[in-house]
Amino acid sequence: MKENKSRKKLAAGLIIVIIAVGTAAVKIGAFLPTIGDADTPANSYVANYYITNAVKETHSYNIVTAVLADYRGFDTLFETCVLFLSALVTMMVLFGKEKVPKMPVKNLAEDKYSAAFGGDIMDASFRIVVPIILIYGIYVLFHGEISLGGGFQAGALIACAYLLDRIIPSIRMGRGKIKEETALIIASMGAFFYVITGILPMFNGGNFLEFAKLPFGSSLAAESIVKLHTAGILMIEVGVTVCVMGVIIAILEVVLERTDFDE
Amino acid sequence: MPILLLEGLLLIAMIAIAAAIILGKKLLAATVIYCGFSLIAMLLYTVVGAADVAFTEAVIGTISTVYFIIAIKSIKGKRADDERK
Amino acid sequence: MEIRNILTVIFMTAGFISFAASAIGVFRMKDFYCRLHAAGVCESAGLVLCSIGLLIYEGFNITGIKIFMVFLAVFIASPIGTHIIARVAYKRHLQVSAEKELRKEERK
Repeated sequence: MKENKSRKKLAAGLIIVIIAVGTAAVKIGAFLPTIGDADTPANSYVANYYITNAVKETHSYNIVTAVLADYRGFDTLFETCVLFLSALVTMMVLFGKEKVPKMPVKNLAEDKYSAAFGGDIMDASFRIVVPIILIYGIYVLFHGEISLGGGFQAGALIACAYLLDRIIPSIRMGRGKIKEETALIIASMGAFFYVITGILPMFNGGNFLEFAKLPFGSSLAAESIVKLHTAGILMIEVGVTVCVMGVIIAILEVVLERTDFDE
Repeated sequence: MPILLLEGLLLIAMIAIAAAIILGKKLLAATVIYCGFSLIAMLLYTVVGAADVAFTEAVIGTISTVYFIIAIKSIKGKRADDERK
Repeated sequence: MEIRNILTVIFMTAGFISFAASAIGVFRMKDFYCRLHAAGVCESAGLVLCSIGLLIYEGFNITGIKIFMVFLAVFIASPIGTHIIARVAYKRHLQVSAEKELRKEERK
């Protein structure tokens, strides 16, 4: 009874808060400019420049990728570093807890029908689904400049395929595991590749992350500069993909090594 | 202030799902409903035209739900997926 | 009113009715396995009908092939999910509720 009363009070309080916040948001939002308006300073100067010049200068039809990786590449570098930092902090917090020993593979293979889920149907179907996910992940990485996609989505998709393999208990369980230290090293190599792409133009006389002066082509014609922009964006996306993949796998392994549940 | 009918329906669904997560009785069921919240957010991003963000939300939503379920299942002691006050 | 539009409307309406039946079935059934059956089967059926409707509307160009690919992917992956849920419930000894009532009557 008391539990019911406190729940009803909680529900009533929640409804009052929702109505109050909603009314305040509607009132405040009424005199801010609407989102797609063409008169605001953000839309008339900066966005106009991006829309008219991005395709010509970077040869990528996806303006979001062009802005993220070429015009604002410095911000994306620190986003990647923050992701790596989150994996590092998770490892540091859970480092002292001792690992739980898992069942060896031989025992699991003898009574394969006693796992919580597993069995023949799961084995066969996961062998169909995982290659499709992997191929789609790499497709999204390389087509980040033409259609949707980019580095973050591709890294998450490739890590999704590994996650599927790790969670399903099957005959292959325990083989092909990536240790958490290895995953962290992979993530740091991704971020390192990003920074190398930034430092390379400095050998040729440019600023940090200035793709027009990458030391690959040899002429200063306009089309060659556009190709250098495309190459720079691709290298950045590969770095981000590897880093995101390492982060997701590291956090997963850190938690899964130290727990014990039959699922 | 122009707002489409589709956007309004999706926003009302979002509020309903958020209320169901907070006032629900089982912790594990609330975690699965969080995945539904991520789905409605993805539909909203598609309706306003941000396609890249919608794609990212779809992928990260599933991974984040798996993390939550693993974290809840590894709490020992008092069974964490029972009813909560 | 071309025949293509009429056929599309018929198939899409049938698909929406199937999805609505799935949603209502999840709410109204009392047993866990009945709910799972309603959700899994009716959603696959609704997917087939909606995809056929969209394919009739689009024709045989590149968009039609993409629709067919999406349908194939979801049609393979969705019953896998239903199978996982049913198998976990079976392994954890979740009783069918008709069995529970039968055992109660046997004890009386």
